[in-house]
Amino acid sequence: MSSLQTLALTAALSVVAALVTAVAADWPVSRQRVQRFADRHDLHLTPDNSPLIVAYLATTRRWRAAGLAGGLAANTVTNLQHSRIGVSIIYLLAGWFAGALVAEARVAGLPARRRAASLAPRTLDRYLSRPARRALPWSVLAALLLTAWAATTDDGQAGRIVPLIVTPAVTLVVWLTTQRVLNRPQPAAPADVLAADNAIRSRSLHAVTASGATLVLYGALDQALTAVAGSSGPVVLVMLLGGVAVPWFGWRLATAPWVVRPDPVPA
Amino acid sequence: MIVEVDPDSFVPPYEQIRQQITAMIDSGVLAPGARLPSIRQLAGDLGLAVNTVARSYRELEAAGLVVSRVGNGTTVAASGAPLSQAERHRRLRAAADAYLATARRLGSSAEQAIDILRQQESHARP
Repeated sequence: MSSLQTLALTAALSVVAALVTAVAADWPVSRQRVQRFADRHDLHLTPDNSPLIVAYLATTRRWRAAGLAGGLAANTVTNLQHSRIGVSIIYLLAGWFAGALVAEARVAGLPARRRAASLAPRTLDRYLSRPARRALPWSVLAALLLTAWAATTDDGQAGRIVPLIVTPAVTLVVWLTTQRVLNRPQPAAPADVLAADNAIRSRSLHAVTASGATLVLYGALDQALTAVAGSSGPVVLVMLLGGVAVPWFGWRLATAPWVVRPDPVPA
Repeated sequence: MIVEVDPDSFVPPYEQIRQQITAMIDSGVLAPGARLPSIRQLAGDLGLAVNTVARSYRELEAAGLVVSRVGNGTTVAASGAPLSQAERHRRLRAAADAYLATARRLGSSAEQAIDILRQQESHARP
């Protein structure tokens, strides 16, 4: 494929990505979606806190859709450059993850009516379940082991060590985003608004940690699968199953219900 | 457990925060070992500079009311020996400053403020 054709295709895909994003941005957030969010956090919807949730769901959907579309576009361009067809899940995961990060940067804290704030510290254990808190460290460990194992195949592919660069980068970005979500301003507000804001933080943290863990682990698994391509045996079968199980597990973790723990000190 | 900063007050914001947290610790509302929010969190929530809240925490630590440890954040110090006379006076002076500042802001004189203090004291007496 000539460079001119690649350029034209890139432009076309960019337009498609922009269209997908525009549609996702304008599509109204359904009542069912808001209710599902509330159910996941055992949140009582009120006229004051519902707009916060609608705005959050619209922002995250817009940017995650944009990320997904961008990942798909990047995947297509790469495929065309190498004259191959197919969809690589790693591109989609990376795109979704990037979109999720942008969304978190766009979500604003609560507006301040007066300069007052709670003395309750916002810590991860209030907002994330134990499995969600441990998902990334365990994924990093598994990814490093997988990468080390794939490197022993010694097939001369420099790409085998890509997870060694991607894994720390993703971990750092997840940590920074986590800090940002926890430190987003939360001035004193009515209880129902605070409950919605806490639920939003919890959902953000679930989405970012679960997608980061999935990306790290799937990336290493992808490289390991390439290393054993053409082989057979139980190891390959386990890896193939892992290729399905890891995104599924990530999705389950990101959408898992969680009731935010109350303030450790009374309000 | 809310900390509030009055931007129109004569008392600087770091001092307002210090006084409120001190009052909560003295009254037992904040128990020994209770964890305070990070400086960044409280500054963001109150819309203040990080240095402002950091100064409050530094002064609380200097007074022995809180303990800051790397990795553990800032916690209320275990209640140890009773306060020295100098420290007691310092805290009373700080509380008096805040009270007088509020009185001035409300348009009352120092004498009126002292009268109200006496009335309150006589009401509180059994």
